[in-house]
Amino acid sequence: MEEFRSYGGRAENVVQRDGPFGRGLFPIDPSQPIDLMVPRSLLVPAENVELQNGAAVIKDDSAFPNGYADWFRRYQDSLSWGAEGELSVTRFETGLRNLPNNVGELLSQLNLYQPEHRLAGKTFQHSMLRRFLKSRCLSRRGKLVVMPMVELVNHSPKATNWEIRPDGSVGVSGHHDGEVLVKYSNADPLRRLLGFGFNVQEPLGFSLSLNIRHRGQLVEVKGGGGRHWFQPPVIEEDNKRLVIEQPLLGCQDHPRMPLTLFLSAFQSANRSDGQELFERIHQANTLALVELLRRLDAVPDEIASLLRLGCMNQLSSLSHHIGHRAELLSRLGDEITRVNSSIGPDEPWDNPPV
Amino acid sequence: MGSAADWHAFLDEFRAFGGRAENVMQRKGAFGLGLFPIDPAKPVDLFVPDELLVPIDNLELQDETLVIKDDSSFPDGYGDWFRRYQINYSWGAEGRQNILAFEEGLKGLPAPVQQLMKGVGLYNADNRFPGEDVEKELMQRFIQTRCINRKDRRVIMPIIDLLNHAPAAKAYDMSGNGIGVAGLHDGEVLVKYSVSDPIRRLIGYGFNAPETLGFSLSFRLQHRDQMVVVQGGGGRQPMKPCGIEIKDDRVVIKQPLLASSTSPKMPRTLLIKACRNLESIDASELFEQIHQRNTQALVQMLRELQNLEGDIGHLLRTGCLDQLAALSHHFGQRDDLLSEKPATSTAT
Repeated sequence: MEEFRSYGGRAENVVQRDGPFGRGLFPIDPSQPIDLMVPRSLLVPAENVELQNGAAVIKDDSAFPNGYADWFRRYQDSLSWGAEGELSVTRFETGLRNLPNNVGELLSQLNLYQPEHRLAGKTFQHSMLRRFLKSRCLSRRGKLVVMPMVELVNHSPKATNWEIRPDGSVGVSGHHDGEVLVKYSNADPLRRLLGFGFNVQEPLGFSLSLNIRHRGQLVEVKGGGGRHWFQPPVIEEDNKRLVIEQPLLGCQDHPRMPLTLFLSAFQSANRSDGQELFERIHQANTLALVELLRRLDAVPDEIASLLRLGCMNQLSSLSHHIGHRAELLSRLGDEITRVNSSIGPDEPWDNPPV
Repeated sequence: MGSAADWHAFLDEFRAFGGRAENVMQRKGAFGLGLFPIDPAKPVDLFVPDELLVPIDNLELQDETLVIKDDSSFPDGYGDWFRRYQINYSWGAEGRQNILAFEEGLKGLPAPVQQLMKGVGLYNADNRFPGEDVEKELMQRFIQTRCINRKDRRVIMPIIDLLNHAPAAKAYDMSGNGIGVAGLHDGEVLVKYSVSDPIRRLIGYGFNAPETLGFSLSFRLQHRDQMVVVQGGGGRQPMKPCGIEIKDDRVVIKQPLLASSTSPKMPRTLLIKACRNLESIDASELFEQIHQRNTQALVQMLRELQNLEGDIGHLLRTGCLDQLAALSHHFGQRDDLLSEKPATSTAT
């Protein structure tokens, strides 16, 4: 920590230890605020991290302070990649790879798991490092960057986001009764699990990737999350098919918003069948998740158990949709502009008040 | 179960009493013991005349055998034939054993699962299988799975009650002077027992089936400023608006249909129709609230059942998944029916 501070970082009143989410950061004195901050100059682009003799190191350290690369290597070895990072990501990815074929096929079909993309490194260990970094990085201006010390904080959907300051530094601060937690990003339960390797009851539910036929038209739903949710889904239509990108289907805190956003997109496209299609997408999601649970039922592995829980969490998150806000449809564009301008284009996506 | 010769001799006796049982054989199939055509190229013909239907209040256990209590209104010898039928082909064949295994499995469920099931009106061990008179309770459960309403009575229909259930099969033919099942069958002869959904079929009968309908579970919910009591259950004419009752300051919704794979626009339409005169209710929104609560309850049951080993755990997990799948079959509504003034029950 002293060394980290000497490079310009801050790490005050925190200690790493095991908690309910594995290793995490806790306040030493909960009555005092914690202060974690990585200056912009110490953020390491993920593409500038490589494996050397099994250790995660900075490939080219010319842009960093003298000695920082050595500190980073020791940090990764003792607190991050080498502490339990490599072990847990390897166990998770190996588990996914060993799932029964019919489970893997369905995950792939729903665009939840594509082994050819996840395991594209020159060796399995290289792929594991990339997976690990993806789960630890912050996206800044289209680039993934590693945030030493700050990345040790675990995720909670109820926590606030990382603090991204005007000078480009990233941090977490304030009073914390128990473990220091942040919200990594907007995701739903299954994508949190597949992306980060742990289960959590996220309040949002986005659609899976699937194709359905609606009133004779082929509808391609591109699933996913990780976007700022307070926006209508993008829809594109040609004479053969309708493409809907990342529709939000459930929102625990604002259960009327998923259909409102969906209807808004359809209103803009001069289509009146939005509500029916919204329900059909829900139906297709439920049937896919039920099928996944059926295929996982007799599988005894730890990973199957994680996936079962992820599917149940997803079903629960998707159930949070009730009615819609008709009064908001006509002024949704203004509302979105207002909320988005208050977020700032460079901040991580957050749940704005609605 | 006896030999083929015993079976045919037994059916000859049944025919002598006025019943029909042509081109069928009892054997093990995908659903346990069931009836199969002897020659699938020819039709089967099963018929129990009204005179041979046995009211369930005229049944009792004697020496662990299910018998007719008072056989004076039946043909001579029918009481003895019925006793042998129960011993060799029904209660004694695997009926009692299956009921016992299922009830013991349910009763042995972990307390959190039982509490959840009780809370949503699916299962209450204290009422259903208290274990005070095990044989009598088993008999009652068995009768519940085998009887049918006929002319305001609940009756057992020998031979026909050996048929297994399929949601896509035809119902019993009750148009004549008895109950019948007939026609060509490639494989096992199957019949649709009743209108139900997957989880209630499981709890009521002990087996999983991908039923095409989904009814609500039981619970209370706050809808805007109105307390709403949802009475779950099926077994009613599904394509009619559900019953509504105002009790004190609560609105009671009786057995709302939430999904139908063959008529997915009807469930919402029917609830909107049912709630038309209720100013405090936004029926469309309530429909979604009821769906949400059902999903939450079923997912919670699945969570509690995750680590439960054995047949009952697997059966219940499958039942919950079947129910979630069945409940998903709803989209849109029938505006044409909602604009009609008198209530009709056309399904699409």
